[in-house]
Amino acid sequence: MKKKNPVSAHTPKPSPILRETLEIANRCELLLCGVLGIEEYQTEKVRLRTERGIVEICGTSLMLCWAGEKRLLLRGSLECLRFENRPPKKGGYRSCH
Amino acid sequence: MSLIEYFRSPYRVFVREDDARLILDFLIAHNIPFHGQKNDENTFSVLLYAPYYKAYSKLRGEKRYRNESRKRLGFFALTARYRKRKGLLVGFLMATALLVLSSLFVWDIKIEGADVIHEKVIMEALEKRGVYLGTFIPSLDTEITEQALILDVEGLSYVSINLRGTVAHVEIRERHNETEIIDRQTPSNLIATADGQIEALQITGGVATVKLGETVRKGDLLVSGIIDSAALGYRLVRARGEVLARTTKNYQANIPYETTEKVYTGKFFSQKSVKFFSKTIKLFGKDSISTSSCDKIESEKRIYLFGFIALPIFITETHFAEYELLPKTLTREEALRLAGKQILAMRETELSDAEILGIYTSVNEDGNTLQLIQQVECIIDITEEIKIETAQ
Repeated sequence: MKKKNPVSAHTPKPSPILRETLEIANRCELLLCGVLGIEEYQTEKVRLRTERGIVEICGTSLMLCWAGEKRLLLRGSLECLRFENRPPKKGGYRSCH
Repeated sequence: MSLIEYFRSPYRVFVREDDARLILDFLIAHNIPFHGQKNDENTFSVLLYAPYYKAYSKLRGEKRYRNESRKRLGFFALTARYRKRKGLLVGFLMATALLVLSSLFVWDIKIEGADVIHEKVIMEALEKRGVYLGTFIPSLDTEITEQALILDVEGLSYVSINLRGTVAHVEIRERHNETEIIDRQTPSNLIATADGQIEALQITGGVATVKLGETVRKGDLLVSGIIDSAALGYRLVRARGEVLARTTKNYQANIPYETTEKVYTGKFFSQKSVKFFSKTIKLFGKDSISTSSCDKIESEKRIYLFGFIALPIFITETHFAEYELLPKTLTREEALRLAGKQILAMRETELSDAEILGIYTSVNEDGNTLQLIQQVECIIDITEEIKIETAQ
């Protein structure tokens, strides 16, 4: 019997277009890629503008730090994360608002 | 601020708290890196490194946010503040040059292991070989100096010179002379050093040529190193032992009555100088008093930084006490006392191991001089070793 070669697993090639990604570490650091600007800034609430819409982060002692082109690092105590103008997705992030 | 950040000298841009969003939006939109965000009372500020600040100010042009202010921090801000004070820069450069150059010279010499030999003797020997305060370190050859020092200083068995920074550590080991090296090879005779009558014989090598009670004269053979036997022929050995003889030692001291006496005039003065490395800088002008008729006492004090860092700087203070030599006529008692002291000094050296049987003293005077004569009858070892020359 002819042996079939198993299909080798491969990682998908990264898209050349910058995607909006979000990473949270320990609920005190948040890295957001694809940031185009800042809609609002306060130490308790930050609203960031991306291609897909607005990302609103609530917390305390929120500080911003540049982390690369269109990448922003947010530090502080994160309490709430909210997306605006974005259709709800299956298995998406939990909204607290 | 970390040290690296201090030397990178970033700019801090201050705006009103309400305008925080505007400046952040601007920076993100133009992809200008920022960090060090601070929120003070009604003020928001961010840090921009110099190239990014240049890009920011170029993009902003003359425009400013409300109450915007910009301030440079760090090292370059400090130098810019004092840029017109050239003396500071010159002083800084000179201090740096001095620090670098001074590390090329010996600042201190530490001697370890000197018990019997005085440190001053070692220092003088080192100076003779080119090792002193202020020596140019790259010119030092420690190996050659170590070997030379062992030959120069009597009593050294080991020398090690290590340079740690600007301090020369000289470690020495002294030779211990308790063990006597006995030469068993060279044949010799023992002869008499004075006339006398033999009281005791203690021979440990050779053959005795005198007997107890015999009278000998100076130069007579007492113990022979030539042993002659009928069976083996003659052989040469080293004559060793003690021959104690009753003898008379004569001592004489002549003291003139007219002499001079040192009398202090009561004038004292001192002079200070500063010694830097090995160079002396005098701190006094020309004095009218001649120092040739003065007793001199010199003291040297080293300068320490913060009480423990030894600097190569010494303050030398020399004290002078002026005196004059006045003629003096000694009395008979004074002359006798002086003569007695002289003879005692001579006796103590020669007769330290002798058994003294009697001392006979006589005094002669000729008007100008007092002569004290002492005859000491004693029992003493009168041997002297003389090597036998052999044809090799």
